[in-house]
Amino acid sequence: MTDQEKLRVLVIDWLDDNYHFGDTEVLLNGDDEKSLMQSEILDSLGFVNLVLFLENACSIQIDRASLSPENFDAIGKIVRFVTPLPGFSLENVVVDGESIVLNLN
Amino acid sequence: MSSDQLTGIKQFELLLEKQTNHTFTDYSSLHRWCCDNPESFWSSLLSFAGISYSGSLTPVIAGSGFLERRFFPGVSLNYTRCLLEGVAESAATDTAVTLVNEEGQVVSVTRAELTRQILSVSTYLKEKGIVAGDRVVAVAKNSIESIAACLGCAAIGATWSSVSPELGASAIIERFGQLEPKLLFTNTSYQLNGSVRVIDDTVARLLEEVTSIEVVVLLSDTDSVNDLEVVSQKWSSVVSCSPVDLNTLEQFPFDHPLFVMFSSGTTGVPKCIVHGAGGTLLEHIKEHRLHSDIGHRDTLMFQTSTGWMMWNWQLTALASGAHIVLYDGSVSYPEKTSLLKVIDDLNVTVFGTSPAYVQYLIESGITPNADYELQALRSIQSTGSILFESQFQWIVKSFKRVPVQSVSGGTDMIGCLVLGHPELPVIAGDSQCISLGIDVRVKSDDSGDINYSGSGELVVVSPFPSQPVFFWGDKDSKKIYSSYFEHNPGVWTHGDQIRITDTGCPRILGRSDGTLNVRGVRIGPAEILCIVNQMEGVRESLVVEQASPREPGGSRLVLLVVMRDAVPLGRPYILKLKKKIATETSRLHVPSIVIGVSELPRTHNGKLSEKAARDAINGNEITNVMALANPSVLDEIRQSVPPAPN
Repeated sequence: MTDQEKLRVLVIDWLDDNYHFGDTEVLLNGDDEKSLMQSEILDSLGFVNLVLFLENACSIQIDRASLSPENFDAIGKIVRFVTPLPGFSLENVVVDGESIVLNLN
Repeated sequence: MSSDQLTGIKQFELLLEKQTNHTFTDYSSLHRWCCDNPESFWSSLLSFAGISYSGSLTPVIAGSGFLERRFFPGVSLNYTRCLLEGVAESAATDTAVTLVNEEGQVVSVTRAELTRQILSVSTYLKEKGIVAGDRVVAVAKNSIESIAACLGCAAIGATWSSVSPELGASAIIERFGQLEPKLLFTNTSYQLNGSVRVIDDTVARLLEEVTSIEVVVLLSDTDSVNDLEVVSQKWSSVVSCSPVDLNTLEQFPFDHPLFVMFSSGTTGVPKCIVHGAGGTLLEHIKEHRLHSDIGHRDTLMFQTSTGWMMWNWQLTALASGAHIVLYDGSVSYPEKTSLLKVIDDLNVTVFGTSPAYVQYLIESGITPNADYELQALRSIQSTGSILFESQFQWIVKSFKRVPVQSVSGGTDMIGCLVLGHPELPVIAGDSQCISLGIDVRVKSDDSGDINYSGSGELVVVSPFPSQPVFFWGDKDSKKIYSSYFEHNPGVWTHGDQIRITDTGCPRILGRSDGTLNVRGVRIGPAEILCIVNQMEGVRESLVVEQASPREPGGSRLVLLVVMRDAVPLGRPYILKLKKKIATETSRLHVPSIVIGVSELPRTHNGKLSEKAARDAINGNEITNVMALANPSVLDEIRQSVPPAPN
């Protein structure tokens, strides 16, 4: 599994854990470029939480000024935006069966 | 300086000095005198409020002790009339309430029009046989219609209780089912983040299970419910009724039940806290005019919903002539700064918010003072959870350099115990003062002594008018006694930890009991646990808060679950469990972390120890380890629960 694929699963899992409880893939309907905001998968409060989560999980810092719909409003955009960031690492992330587990201990 | 240039609290202080020949050197001396002379204080305040009442001001307090006391037993008043008549006739054309929704649509009503709508609602309720003492409930959006319905109900002495339409059906039924209400005001849909959420299933379930409801009024003409077996009426028909006469409204005893609020349900079904009209009115007028210096030149906007006591609190600001701004919808839709735009556009002078919203602004990288003028804004109040020092500092630097007033109290007294003061300095992290005339003290955790200053349990040592008049269905007063007086007989135990400095400056340190506080919303563990424990395979569970500084509100929920043999707590099960909690209650109730453990910490007499689990999860010292029958489980909990992000 590539880092991009792992990050995608990580974001989907987070959306499932916090907002859609298993229904995120259904809501995306196979479209990773679907606008999360317009399709009500995430609201702006949720985006803030997602940014905090990604910073913690991927050992990165995200410049708040860089957060725009162009680079953060779809699963595909998030993956493409986050993986090249300085310090990006999924060392804390392990694959456990069908899902990703964050090992933050 | 003319008297109307003085702050409300200065005017009141001068009045007291004149009446008593006493000189107050500072706020502490004024507060102490008011606590030591409750009869003089509360009767002076009632006169100062300028509201209409009938009867005698004496005795001011009858009976002794918290449960037997009755304030102003000889006074009768009408809450609605006091709110509507307290401003000069010329103000009839002033805007009373403005509603802004998340789409940016703005609707306003003048005081005259609001009054007409309220009094038409009263006529309708009377026609439907609603009389003083009947309960009227509402599943209502934050709207002008909700205010008119509430005050129309109070005008005839009926008792009002409301929840937000976002609350799940089970939680609504659990609350309203206890009250045996006769009439329901309801919305059947609401809008959030741009989409319309229909709740007619919730309303239908409510009507099916709470069979005392005979009449339903739909608060919006676009609302509908199919196949109703009870009478339903559209709002436009209700407000087209001929209004009753404001000046001939019946007056009711000072303690007449006005609102029913609900406890968070820490130990079971939420308790129904009944607040009296006079106590609510007097406390709110004190907090508005004296502590917030709110008057007819002010525009007040408090982020709230109809299910939170701050909704009732803001309502009473009509008695001080303030213009109230309601906001309905997401604070961050369609723009991240939607709410800030409203403050700017409507010249809000007093903005009430929560630490969760402040943290959202911080984490979003928003700098309000860079994008908005916020010219009229003169104070920011925050409540719901603890406003940290760094948040105070951010507000002053990035929002506006105005007094930041961290206020705290709650549902139990429908008001505040610690709050702001227009003339005292603001110290980051602290509230400015203790509420005037409320004898708040500290019970030391170590010695058990009750002191004026120090750190420990927040207690109130003398009765006050806005304490609950009773709990609904609590005929022998057992529930009200166990809620406030059982732990420390003779004083009101509020359930908060507090620190008060020698100069009287208070700071709330957190909750003493197991009540959870998620993003400013108080949640009883029982609301979550009763759902979890019904899930197939679950033996028992415990939910506690974990400090998480980067989360809005500063904490997150951790659910510990013990499964029956052979049933794995896998990810699909956890998602199913979370979905059930969200559906039955709200998304705020959903724990961030769900962990399976082999057992839960218990005391020697078999009682689950929430405190031990909470301390273990937060890395605190376990102070009650000797009381535990199975202390080794704490190691398992420590190792299983991940630390919160820094």
